[in-house]
Amino acid sequence: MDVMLAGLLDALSLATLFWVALGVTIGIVIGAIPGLNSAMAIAIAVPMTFALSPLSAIGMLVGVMKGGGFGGAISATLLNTPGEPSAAATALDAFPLASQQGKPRKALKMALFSSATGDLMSDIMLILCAAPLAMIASQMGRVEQTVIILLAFTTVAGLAGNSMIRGILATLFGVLCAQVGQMEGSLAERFTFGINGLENGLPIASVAIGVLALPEIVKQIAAGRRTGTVQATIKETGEPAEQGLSFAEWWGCRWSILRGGIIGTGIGALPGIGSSVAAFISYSAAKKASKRPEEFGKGSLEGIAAAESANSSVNGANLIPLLTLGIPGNVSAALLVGAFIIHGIDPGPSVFRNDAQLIYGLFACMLMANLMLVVIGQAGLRIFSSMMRAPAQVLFPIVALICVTGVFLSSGAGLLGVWIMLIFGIIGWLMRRYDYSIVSFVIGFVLGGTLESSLRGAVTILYRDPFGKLPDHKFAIALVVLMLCFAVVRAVLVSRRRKRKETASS
Amino acid sequence: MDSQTRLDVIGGLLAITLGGILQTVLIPRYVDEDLDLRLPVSAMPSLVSLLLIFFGSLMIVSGLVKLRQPSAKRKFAFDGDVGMSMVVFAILACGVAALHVLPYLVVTPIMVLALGCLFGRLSFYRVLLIGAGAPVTLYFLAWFGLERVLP
Repeated sequence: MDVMLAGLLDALSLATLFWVALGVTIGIVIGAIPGLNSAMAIAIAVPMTFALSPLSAIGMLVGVMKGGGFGGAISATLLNTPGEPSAAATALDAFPLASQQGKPRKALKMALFSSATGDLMSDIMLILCAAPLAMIASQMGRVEQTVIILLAFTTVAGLAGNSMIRGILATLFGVLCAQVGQMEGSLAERFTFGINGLENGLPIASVAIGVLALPEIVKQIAAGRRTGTVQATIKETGEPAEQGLSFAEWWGCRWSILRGGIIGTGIGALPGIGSSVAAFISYSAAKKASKRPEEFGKGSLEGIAAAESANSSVNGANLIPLLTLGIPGNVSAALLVGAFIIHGIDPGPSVFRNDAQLIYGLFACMLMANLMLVVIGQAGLRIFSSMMRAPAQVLFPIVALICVTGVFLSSGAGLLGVWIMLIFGIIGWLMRRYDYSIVSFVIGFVLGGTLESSLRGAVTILYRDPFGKLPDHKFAIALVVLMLCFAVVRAVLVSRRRKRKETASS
Repeated sequence: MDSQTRLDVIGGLLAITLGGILQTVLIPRYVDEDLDLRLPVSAMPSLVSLLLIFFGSLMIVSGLVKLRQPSAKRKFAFDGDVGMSMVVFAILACGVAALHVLPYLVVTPIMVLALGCLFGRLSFYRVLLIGAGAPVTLYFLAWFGLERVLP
């Protein structure tokens, strides 16, 4: 209890609250820029957190994650250009409400309140589940840990892209990149090629900004001459009183929000599925359950509420596997793992034993971030919406400059870090162009080191008599069976889907 | 051979080549030894390289199996102007290279203005904003905020 209170007090300090609020603001601003999403916002914000205390740093990144989720809804509502795929479900109703009915403020407010409510639901679930699950997880040994990481790799590779083999190759490339530098627990170096600065491995900020943010920035700049500047032309029409969102309207959508929160939390707790799936499942579930399904797609508040609450609740739930097993469920969570490691914290079940105060502080920061999202989102709605009017000619070169400067300052490798960012920018651009999952790559890169140390530990345990000792690890055997079942079921489903497409086309 | 199959085969061949280079050149030359460890330092990279070869081969086989089935023309997931993207990367690379010899406040304005020019003509106000405002702001933020002096 003392640890909980100490964590809460840490989170409520003015400095921590300031960084969380700044994170929420940065998240909304970057998320509102068409083409950029919350994962990219976290990647860009990581360098800013190096000089902060662990709680302020991770609290700020959590703020960016939550702000970025709502930021994506702004461009979806005003431009019909979702910042991330999950906001596409929001755009289905938010854009018609804003453009056809002339109520952009109502659409944005519904997105904001649903997003904050969904986030809050998943945070409460995380707070209730994480510690007991971590206690169970901490009983697991190296063999089980190895199998769990492999299961996470298989699930993410299978679900995050269109091809499982390409996903596995991307994961393997990520694991290979994690091998660069000095090996953990030894002075032996790997693939440093005699370059000073590589002995500590590839800097996570350089790799993350390189594969996540740079390809999108380059794409936007490259397309600049063709597309010009996209500007919101939506204007408010009708009575000013109808522009706001009344409590009755929000309350009328309570079941959609609740359902979305539950769907998002359930899906978010599983690695690799992502918020887009949650948003669309929640949207179609809300449409089926609605008394006015004919309004969906034409500016239904229920539609906005269902999509936003589901895609936002994925964020908090994604931290459940992160804090209980040390396995990130998506790119944002993978970047948080990087932030944990940078600040000397080992994410996973042991975090509740070794850094309990920090974790309870983080829980408090998450709850505060939801409140700040509502306050900052409400107060700055007009300013954030005006981000749409910022010309891409100004915006993207400045974002590129921020990436270069941020990596230079944070990576500890100086200009080498910037070169690494550029190289991974090209790799990320090629991977995205040829449909190799970036999520799989990032998770492979972040978990590569942990996988190696677990594997080494498992080999030590099973050395000499593997078949004699394996029966002691029934949980690991069950997970291997589950992994094989998942691969087989996915292969069968893909083959069926292909056959159905062929039948339909012929 | 349609573009989907060709890309699968090329991807598979690249994975096999990377695995082969790791096995024959990179691991023997650029991985140190530590005799105190039960598993050699090269164990994990070797495992990854073998898996790259295995899954690369699997991708080629699956690509060739698809060849016998009718398939739609492939649409790139990340469609973009390839030539122009390479120009953007080249501008960034030139900027970073120049930072080795020239100061930040000289190189970065030229770099961001070059990026801005790719969109079309820049107005005087925008030249001022992105050419001077952004680099100077970042320079002083780093100096006073993080107490780090940019080159």
